Amino acid sequence: MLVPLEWLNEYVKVDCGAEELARRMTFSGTKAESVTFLGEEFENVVAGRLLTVEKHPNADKLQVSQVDVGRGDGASLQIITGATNVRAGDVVPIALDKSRLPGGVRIKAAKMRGVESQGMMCSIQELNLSKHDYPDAADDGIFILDPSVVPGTDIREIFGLDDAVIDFEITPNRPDCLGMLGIAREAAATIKKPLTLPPALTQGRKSEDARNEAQGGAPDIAELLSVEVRNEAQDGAPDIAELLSVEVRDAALCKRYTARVVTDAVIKPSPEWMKRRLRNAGVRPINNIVDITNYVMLEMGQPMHAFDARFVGGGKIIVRRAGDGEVIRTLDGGDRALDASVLVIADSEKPIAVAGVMGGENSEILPDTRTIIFESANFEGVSVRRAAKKLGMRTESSSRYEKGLDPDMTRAAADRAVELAELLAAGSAARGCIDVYPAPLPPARVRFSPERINALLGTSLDREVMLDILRTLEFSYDEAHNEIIVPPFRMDVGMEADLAEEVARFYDYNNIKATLNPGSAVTIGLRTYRQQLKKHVLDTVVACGFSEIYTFSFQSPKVYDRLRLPQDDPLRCAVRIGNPMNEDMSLMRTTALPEMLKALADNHAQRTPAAELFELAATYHPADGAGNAPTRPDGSAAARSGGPAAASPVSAAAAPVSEVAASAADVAAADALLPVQRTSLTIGAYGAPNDFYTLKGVFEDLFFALGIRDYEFLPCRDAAIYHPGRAACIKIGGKDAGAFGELHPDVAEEFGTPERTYAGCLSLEAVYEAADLSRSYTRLPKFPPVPRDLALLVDGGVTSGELIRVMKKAAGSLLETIDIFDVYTGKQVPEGKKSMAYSLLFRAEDRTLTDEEVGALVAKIVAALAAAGAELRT
Amino acid sequence: MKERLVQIESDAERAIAQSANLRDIEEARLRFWGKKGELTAVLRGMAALTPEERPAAGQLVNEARARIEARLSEAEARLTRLALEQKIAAETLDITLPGKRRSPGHKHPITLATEAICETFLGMGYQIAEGPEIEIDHFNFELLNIPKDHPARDTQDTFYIDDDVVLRTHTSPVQVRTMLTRPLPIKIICPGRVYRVDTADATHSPVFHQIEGLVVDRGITMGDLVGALSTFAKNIFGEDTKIRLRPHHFQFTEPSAEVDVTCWECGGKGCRLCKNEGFIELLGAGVVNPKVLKMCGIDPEVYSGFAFGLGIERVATCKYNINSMRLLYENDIRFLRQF
Repeated sequence: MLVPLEWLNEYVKVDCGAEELARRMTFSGTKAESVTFLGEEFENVVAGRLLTVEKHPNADKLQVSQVDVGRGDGASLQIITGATNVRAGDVVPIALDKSRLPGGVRIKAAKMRGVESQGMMCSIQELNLSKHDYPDAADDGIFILDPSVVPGTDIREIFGLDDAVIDFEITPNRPDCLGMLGIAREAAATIKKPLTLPPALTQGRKSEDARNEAQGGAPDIAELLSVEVRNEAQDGAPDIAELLSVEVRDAALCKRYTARVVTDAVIKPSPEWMKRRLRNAGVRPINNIVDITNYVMLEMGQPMHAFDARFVGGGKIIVRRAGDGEVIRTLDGGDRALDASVLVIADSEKPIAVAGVMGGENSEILPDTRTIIFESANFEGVSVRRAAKKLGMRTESSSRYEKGLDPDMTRAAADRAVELAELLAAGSAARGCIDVYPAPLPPARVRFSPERINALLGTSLDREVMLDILRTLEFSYDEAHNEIIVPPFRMDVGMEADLAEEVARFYDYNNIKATLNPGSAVTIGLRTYRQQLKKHVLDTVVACGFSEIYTFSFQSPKVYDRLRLPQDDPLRCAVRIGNPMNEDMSLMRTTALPEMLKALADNHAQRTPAAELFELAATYHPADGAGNAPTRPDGSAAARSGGPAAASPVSAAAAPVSEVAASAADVAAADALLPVQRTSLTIGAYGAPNDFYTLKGVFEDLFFALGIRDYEFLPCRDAAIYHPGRAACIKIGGKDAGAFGELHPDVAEEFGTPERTYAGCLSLEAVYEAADLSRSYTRLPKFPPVPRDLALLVDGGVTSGELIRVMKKAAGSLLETIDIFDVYTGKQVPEGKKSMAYSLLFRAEDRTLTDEEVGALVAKIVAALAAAGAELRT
Repeated sequence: MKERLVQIESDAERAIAQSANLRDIEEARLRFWGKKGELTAVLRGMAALTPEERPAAGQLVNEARARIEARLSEAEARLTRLALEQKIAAETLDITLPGKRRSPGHKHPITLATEAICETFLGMGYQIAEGPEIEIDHFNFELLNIPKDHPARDTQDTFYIDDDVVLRTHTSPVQVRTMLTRPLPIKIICPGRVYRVDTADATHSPVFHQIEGLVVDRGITMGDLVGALSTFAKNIFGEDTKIRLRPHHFQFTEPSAEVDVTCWECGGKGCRLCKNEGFIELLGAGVVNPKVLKMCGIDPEVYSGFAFGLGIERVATCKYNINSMRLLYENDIRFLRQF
């Protein structure tokens, strides 16, 4: 909300400066986003009257002018211009010697073709003003000002730029502050100054001819606005009832409809003071009538509309829902298809406005409009919001209505509009007012309990202090009922907590003393077992040398093909976002592997020679396994447009917001329907010394750290993502828990990772399930171990796992450990064979093993190995 | 014999004195004390003496032997020491060569910030609560006093799965779930991933992380909120950190506040980072709206509570001086290694 200080000053005298006001308002709850001093880019730019204009002696295209810039000594300046549109007598903007123009342009006196120029005449572009605002300004030449402007007047004053504009952030609960009056009320309470209401809200005004308002120059607006103008009709004026009738057919969506009529209208530009205020508040002036509607909206927060009565067929306004198939061309020129969800203003035949959103082209104010209907209505917020969204046209009006406006103010706003029409000599008021307000809202009342307010805030404020604050904000106190009566414009206040906030923000939040729940029972802050496990996983993988990454949860539908996943792979079954940022971010990921590969590829592209990365990544899986599978080809798009009829079981489980509290059962019901969220440890590495066994080692360390013993790694030949000979499936407790391996060269190429890149995923649910953090000490052995080494010659395809199984089985319980210490192919090993060397450790709990015992065991092992095709190397 | 002993002793003394190392000492010992050693020979020669002469002679020999042995031991100790010193001197390392590092990996700054915040609140007796990222609209909005078609929804541009299911826009639904399922008193923080329709840039991201807190019990006040947040701010940004509250509006709290902390760059004096404010906006908070308590089955006449929420990326970028949120999701290992 842009608030020009000059405008605000009409209601409350701000004597502390814009910046201080902005700061104080921020701490009383109206946050100032910025303060702009409009003319701050101008320095030493004034109006000058051209006394003479003559040809430059040395240049055909230049003219030399003597200019009166209002200097006290009466001296004129000599200024040269290349423009051709200036004549003696014109008043033009002059950038003096050592002046500054918008964009940081500095102007200095200089000689042009041997003749001194003591400044520069300015075009509208050089002043950075809009042609829209000043249509008469020359496109190509000097901006000729109104001849009544006094030479020497500062340019900022002429264009109303001698003002500061504060941009306030208005939260959705305070639509009253989307008007200068609302801001003025807050400002008055904040800086403790009286509030002056605008004339339409005051009584007993004297009549005066206000039609002499000035063009050009800078009139004293305060004086202008203090003239007391009738908004009641003169004798002999027509009665509104002769001109208009209003019928509200949907009182739920239109709580109040107020209309006033102005006759004998003259459509012309608004006076400069009004245009300036509108402009500085961010609204483009159009013509006097449209400007009045905007002015009242900005002043009071009440959206207004003006119809040309000629086009209101039958002289009758009907507020009704649109018929299906009805179309209206709105003021912005677009044709809008309507339906019964949209409230319209219609005449006896056709819609003439979309209620609360935008007027129709068929009834707009034209240059020859003579009779005007001012509409000041209260439309229901949700319906306006829906209509605006549906038609894709949020307007200043709709964004106010949707927040829920005070129906009390429509009458005052209509009167204010008529008053301004009189003030601007835009027309004459017709007698009377049509005001359809079937069910006036009683003022809200809230129990007043200073004790409870203090209890909520942790303060010990006196009740009188609270009442003082509330009264400043125009609340009143009904002592008999011990209730606070809320002023009508404060639609946001309806309960005790709201009063507490009003009190707190003017007491200043920062005066509330810090405490740490002194009355509360001590609670134990501990991680749950799951949370401890997760931290363990994280700490272990980090200790293994891997660094953690964070990636987005979105996924492209194209990613499955890039991963070479089969068409029926369950990972292809994803939750689709109804309104994604783009197609590549349209699914919720079912695997975090693609993002891991992207991270590896990005690091590779940065020429990082090696990287070891991991993510504890959530993945998302449709509850019913449907997702974007062929059964629901267009996914949620259908569901989204399904409307209320297609109420899903979720909404059935979760009843609409009402007095009935939700319960734990609702949580269970929701969880049963929501997609399943899982977490995986996704891991990836490339570059020396990383290889397949690096990843395997991380998993082994992790299992060790978490006390998981029942796991195995099995060859994984059919996972299309991986190199078929260099991948493993991970099983925990016999169940699939993940897979990892070297990327298939096709996948590596597709993702731009190095050729030898290793990656994998492990289900953390499976890890958590099997984890066992309990520990029990095993006594250290008392007797020494007996080591033996065995070097075996086996076929190339034999795995170490098989050999170890054979050895363990043959050796029995005295074999304590087997470690492989060498795998060798090459010289001295026959083609197709490999040498595998193991170091075995034998030990008995109760005695020192003898050479004979160990010799016998080794013989058994060697025999079993031989039977399995492994030959002892000697 | 006596002369012989004197001779041996003086020879031994000389030999020991001339010993340059342990081997010389060993040789000296052998020369006098070995099987064919000179002193050994004298001892053997004692057999030729009369029994009367033997005690006196034996004593002489023993005394000479003890003296020589003492000299030998002393020299041996000295030379052992010397040898060690020489060895140490020869073994000097170039300590400027790089260390052999185990090089553990690095936690992501978002994790570090999350852990730091969690530890602070765990220490204050809070528990960590979690919930699903894909959430029903009812929990994400409606029970937080944001009905369908409420303008407050505009402040949180939402990803919809369908009309009733959203990607949660804050971790507040975890508060709702907790209020619906857990016994009072409640004292939780809810860290987690949230989503809003927003193009990624230096300060925005469609995916980001939040931590919210909720305390509900009898007699909870706004002062307790101030206490909790000021403890948090001191723990995360340093003991001298102060907080500052500004009134604001959130649908699920009343009164509501935006909370600033003193600028960590200038300590509150005002600098470029804080735009001369001395404070930096960090989080939103307030007293739980009684409507929310009621909808979640808690009697607002008896219980009250406070809630707060903050962006973890914001804390991480502030705490670690990271100039763009994008860096957090680019996963460049040169960046990650700095944490």
